[in-house]
Amino acid sequence: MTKQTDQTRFRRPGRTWITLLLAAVLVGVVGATRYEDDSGMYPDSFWAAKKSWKHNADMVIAGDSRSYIGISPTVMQKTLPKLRIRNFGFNSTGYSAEYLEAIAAVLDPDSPDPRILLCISPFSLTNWAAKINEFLHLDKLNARQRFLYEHGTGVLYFFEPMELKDLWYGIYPEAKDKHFFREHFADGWVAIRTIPDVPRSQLPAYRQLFADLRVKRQNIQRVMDYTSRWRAAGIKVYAVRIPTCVEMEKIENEGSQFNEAAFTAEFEAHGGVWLDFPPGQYESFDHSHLNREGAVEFSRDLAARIRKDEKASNLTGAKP
Amino acid sequence: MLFNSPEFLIFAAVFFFLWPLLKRANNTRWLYLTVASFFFYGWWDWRFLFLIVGSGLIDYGAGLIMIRWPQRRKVFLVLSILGNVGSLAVFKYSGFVADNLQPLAEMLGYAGTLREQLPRMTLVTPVGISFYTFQSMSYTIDVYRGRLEPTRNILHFFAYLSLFPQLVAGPIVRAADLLPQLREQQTVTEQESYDALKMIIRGFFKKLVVADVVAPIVNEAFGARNIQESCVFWWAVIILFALQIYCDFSGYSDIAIGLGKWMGYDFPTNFRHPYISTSMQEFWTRWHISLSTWFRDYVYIPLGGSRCASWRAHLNMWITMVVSGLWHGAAWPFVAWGALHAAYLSVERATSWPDRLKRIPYVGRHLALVICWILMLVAWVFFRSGTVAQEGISQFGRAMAVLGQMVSFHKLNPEPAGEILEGSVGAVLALVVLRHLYFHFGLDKRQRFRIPSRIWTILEPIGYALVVVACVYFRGSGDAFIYFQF
Repeated sequence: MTKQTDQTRFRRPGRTWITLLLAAVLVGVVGATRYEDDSGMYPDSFWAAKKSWKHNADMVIAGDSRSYIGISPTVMQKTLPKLRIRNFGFNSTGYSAEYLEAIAAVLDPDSPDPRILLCISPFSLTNWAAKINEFLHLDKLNARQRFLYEHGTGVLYFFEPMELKDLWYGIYPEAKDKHFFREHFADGWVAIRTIPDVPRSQLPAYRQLFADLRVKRQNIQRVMDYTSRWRAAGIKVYAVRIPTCVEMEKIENEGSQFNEAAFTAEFEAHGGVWLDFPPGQYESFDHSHLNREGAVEFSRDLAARIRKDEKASNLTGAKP
Repeated sequence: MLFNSPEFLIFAAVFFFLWPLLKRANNTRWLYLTVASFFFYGWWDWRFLFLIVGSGLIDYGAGLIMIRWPQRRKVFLVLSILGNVGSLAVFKYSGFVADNLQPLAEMLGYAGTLREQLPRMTLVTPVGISFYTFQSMSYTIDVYRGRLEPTRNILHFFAYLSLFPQLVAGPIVRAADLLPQLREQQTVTEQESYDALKMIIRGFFKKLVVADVVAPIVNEAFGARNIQESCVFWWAVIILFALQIYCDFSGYSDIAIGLGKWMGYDFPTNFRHPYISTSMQEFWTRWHISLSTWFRDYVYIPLGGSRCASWRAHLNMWITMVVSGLWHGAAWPFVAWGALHAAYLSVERATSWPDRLKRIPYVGRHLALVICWILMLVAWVFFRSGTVAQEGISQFGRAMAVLGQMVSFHKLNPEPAGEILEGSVGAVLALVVLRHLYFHFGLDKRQRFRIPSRIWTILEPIGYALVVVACVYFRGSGDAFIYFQF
């Protein structure tokens, strides 16, 4: 097949350019019209930034989604103003050795008062959490992805795929009657507010999850070993079980065979400080995670408890 | 570099911005095409550029030597073929051969794993190796046959061999078609430019909005630990896979052909609505045309084609189809896929059943279409299973398990099929089915279904602009083009 050389040249910008221009305009308009419940930092940027934290905190909060949704460092800092606090929680993250090492690496080595707050949930002590660990998954980002997430998320987000209903709600926002507002903060907290208040309970999902998923001794032992190690290095180590609801705790304890009392005793024997918060006191949007208001209130109470513990230590002369 | 990536958009923008300036002089044009194409290919892994360069140097040299020493041209043809097939053997098939020799090695007392003895690099299949080696071989074979004058300019040759739009997944362009086009500066008319743009947009739509939407469903079904026990589910999944592979591959071809058109080069059509075929022979004149004609011209016909005894013609056809299956992948299910198609063609040749069926008034042609669809879908089960790697179950085992479910008519259980076909997947399936029926019933040729040209001139750019919006915002979550792995 031989193409005949054609002497006809471009005369004017024709349908090619018109189509491309029209496409560019429509893409811009549709992208700008998209309905969005998210605010604050772009999620990819949020996670990439969090993953790269090193030596920039006096206090690091660690754990799974309950921790990064349930605790606001900024609110805590109002009660603990001398501390730079960062929320280093990741989705579905178990206490693997890699994660525990990374937690300590976020602490500023020159901090006069280094502290770690471990948010303990039965899920975080299972092998399944160690396997599907979002923290480790973020390690698999290649250089190109890291660059795009750090410098180009705004552009990437503009071109994110959507559903037709997102476009519809963008044009008629009043038509949307269910909302899942998420705000990503630079300190590592994600604040969530929903309309209606509890759009979908996680109780059935956790019931199914813990049908055959158990807390494993080696994961508990790892947490204890690191607690001892950190204590020996002069780092104060706290632990807390983020309060959910009574029924959720029952499902978790019975299903996973997690013995909170035994864990608490062992943790304190290794030098940690257990902060006890009974379930059902704070607002949740799914019976598992705290909503925005619940997280603010819990963060305030948590900081107050830590402050109280500091004062008690100072009075008794106990080692920090 | 994937066509559906931000890097490619930037690359293409830069390339076409500089193209009008750099295409004027021959050597500049060829150098620009070669450098750009190497950059495009090397973006994936620069280390494998040596393969294209090596393969190209062998064939470029062989072409010139065959003219210089015509009495020895067979030797250099063999060397060229060995070089190309050798690189395929090492980089694509060495793992497969090692795995299949393992039982024999163990019988002879070998304790280790043969695959682990292979250099690591040989276990990575370079992107596009099956395409550019075939394209390169077609050059030397055509020179050998006297159908092509070899080029004396190495840049001209590499511009042909490495031309980026069709480098990694075709269409396989013959040297006799492309070298003359590359020899002259081509000018593109506005109409050609617009046709190219439409082709590119259609290609992206097929890939991003159809294939990528359907891909996760198919991947999940084939990757699941336990086979879903539902006849209807598996027929739905394999129909979706048929859709996926057609739209993925023909989408890529459309983009490649469109990009070539923008440069001023005509690439051959690679797909002609294969799913409206009413015989398997017709299917192979509509599906991956550049590959099937390559095999016809360089394997089937040299073996004797059909100009020999009937049993020999069948044998030639079987060899060609099985090799074609193996070309697609280093796994037995691909061989089975090729063999199955060979069986279909043999039966067709022996019985002429499609022609007989089509003589039945009103329904014959439609029945033939349905039967062809069923035959194709059964074959696709093996093809798709060839890409499954799962512990505890062989690829063949997976294929047979799926086929078993497809014929378990007592286990209709339509609910799982309903779940996967809801939402955008169902919409996409309906769209593609309607489009195929449009061509099957010849509605594209009927005047009453044509929009007046004045209205069409206004509507068409708007329509294509909306398709671009769909490609950007309603794309699926699939990733690389399927044929990249070949």
